Parts: sequence; structure tokens; C-alpha cells
Amino acid sequence: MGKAARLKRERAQARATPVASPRVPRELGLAVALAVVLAGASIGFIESARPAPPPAALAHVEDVTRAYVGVPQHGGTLGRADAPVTMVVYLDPQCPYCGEWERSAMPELVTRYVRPGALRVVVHGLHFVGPDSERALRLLDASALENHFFQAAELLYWNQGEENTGWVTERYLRSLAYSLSSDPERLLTDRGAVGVQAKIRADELAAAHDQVTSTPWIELGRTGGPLSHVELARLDANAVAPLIRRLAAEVAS
Amino acid sequence: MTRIAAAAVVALGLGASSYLTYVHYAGGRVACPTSGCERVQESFYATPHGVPISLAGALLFLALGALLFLGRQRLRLLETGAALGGAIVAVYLIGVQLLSLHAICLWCLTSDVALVILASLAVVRLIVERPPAHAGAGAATGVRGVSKR
Repeated sequence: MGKAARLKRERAQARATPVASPRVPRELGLAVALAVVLAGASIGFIESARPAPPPAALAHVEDVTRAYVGVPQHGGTLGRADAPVTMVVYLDPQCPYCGEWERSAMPELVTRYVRPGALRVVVHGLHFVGPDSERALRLLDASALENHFFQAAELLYWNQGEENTGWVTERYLRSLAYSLSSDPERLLTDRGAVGVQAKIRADELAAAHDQVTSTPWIELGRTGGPLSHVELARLDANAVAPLIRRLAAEVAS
Repeated sequence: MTRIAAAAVVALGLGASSYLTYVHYAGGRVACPTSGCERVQESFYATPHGVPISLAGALLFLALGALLFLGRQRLRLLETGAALGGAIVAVYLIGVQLLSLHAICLWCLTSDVALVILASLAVVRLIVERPPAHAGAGAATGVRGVSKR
């Protein structure tokens, strides 16, 4: 057999060898698309079964719980309805000065004035610092539906994180709920309740009406009478205690 | 050749996943040289929504075995897609064991690696083992049965 004949035969064999047809990339593309759909559905199914993270231990749970035992509380109002003096407080869950106020002033005010029936406290929650504020506020206002607002607020401030760092995680909120409520899952669900939305809106309107420009914003006055804004020189109970005593004395006389 | 290799890998993966499924329903302990199997099997990844993932794996291996046995060209795309999908999930589950659970279940790993190998073989078969599409002018252009006069 000559060289030319051999070359011709080799070329013929090369032509007869199966090669990837132009349909292969298209079929491979379809197979990859099918694979992505199947895998996505499977991984989604597995991940949807992921259990909720366990609640973390929070600081000062027992102190806060003990501080409010026996003190009348309804929604965002703490203390007896017939208390002679009313203090209105505007707070943002992320505001660090609000945290200082809640940790320093509130425990003492509750012990010295609210528990004996001299002071009634009304709190309005705001959420102007950032998205974490609203997430936290929703849980506080859901706690108000169960009449646990003040425990929730104080516990939140004892475990407060840096502003707008994403510290109000779902795990953090679950920890708060499990520390506060006998029905924590319901409390967590109530964050989306109509009552919570209504309270957020009502507090926004109240802040606009009172021309609140910063937090913590404190107003004091006789119960049922006009309230006056108090410029806080310090963030502890002594910043308002003399005024509370004076107002209570005026009402008593 | 790749078909025989794929059949062997299907048998291996089916054996591992069937064993895990059997242990799940029989309620015994997984025979394992390390404590990893138990840790992995106790995690939610092993039984999402109560469905043993090993059972899903066994069913996938059975399906891939059936497609391999039938050897139909028109089912090749389904076979490749299912094998690739299984391989993606297998890689995800290997990642879960290494990065999330910090434990390795040898039976699961066998099954996962089997799926990755099967996917590779399926892709090779899809690309290389084509029906005789000869590289003539007709095959190249997709035109067949045109005779020259």
C-alpha cells in the first residue's frame, strides 16, 4: 500500500471517529441548568429545617425581673394611675444616653417614687438612629402588649450594643423574649401585630407633637396637667428627683 | 468503559446510603471508626423535616443506576442533570461536615464522593460517548441524508 493510500485511509478513519457535535454544549448547558434547579431545591429544603439559634444568656435578667415585681404596668405606662406626678420619656433603643438613663436613673426612680405611688412613667419608643432601632422597638412594643415593656426596655439597655453595628440580631431578640416572657414565641410573633404598628405610629405622632429633638427626652408635670420638658444636666435619678419631690408636694398641699 | 465505572460507583454510593437509611429506621448505632458519624447523624442536616437525607441519596443512586442501565441516549441529559445536581448537594454536605459540624461521617463522605465521581463520568459520557455523529460535511452542518448526484 502506498503512502498516499495510507494517508487517505487515515483521513477517512479520522472522519469516522465520533466527535462532540454542536449539540453537546447546548445539552450540557441544559444539564447544568437542571442540576442547579435540583440542587437549589434540595439545599433550600435542608436549610429550611435549620433550627432557630438557642437564646443567649443576657446580663441582669434577675435584677430587672425583681425590680418590677408588684409595680402596676399597662402598655407603655408604669405606676399607679392616680400617682400625683407624671414623667414622659422618649427613648430610642440604640441611643447610648438612653441606655445610661435606663441603667442609672430608672431603677432608683422606680424604687423611690414609682413603687410608693408618687410617680407614673409613660415611655414612648422612637426609632431614628437606624434599622436596629426599629427591630428592637418592635420587640419592646410587643412586650407592651403583655405589660412587660419596662422590663424589656431595661434588659435591652443592660445588654445594649454599639449603634448601627447590627447588634439587634434575631438571636439577641430571641434571648430577650425568652428572658422576659412565659410565651416567648408569641412575643416574637407579636412584633408584627397591628397593636405594635399602632403604638409605633402613635409614639411618632406624640414625638412630633412634643417637638422632641433628642433622646432621652424627659417631660415632667402634675398628672392630668401640662408637662414641661426637663433639660437633663446628668443621666441619673438626681436629675429629676428634686422636681418630682416638689411637684408631689405641691399636689399634696 | 465509563458506563462500567459508573455502575461500580452507583453500587458503592447505594450501599453507603442504604446502610445509613437502614440504621436510621432500625434505630441502631452507625458503625464508624470515629465519633463523626454519630455527630453528623444527630444534626438536623441528617433528617431535614424528618426526611432522612440518606434515603434521598439512596433513591438518587437507584434512579441514576436505572438511567445507566437503560442507557437511552435521550435520557442522557436527565442523567447528567441529576448527577450534577446530586454532586452540588454532595459538595455542600461535605462543606457542612467540615466547616459547620467539624465532624466527618465516612458513610456520608463515601456517598458524597460517589456522587461527585458519577457527575464527572456523566459529563464525560455526555460529551464523548455520542451516537455516531461523523465528522463529515453533513454531521458538521447537522444536515443528513443529502446525497450528491
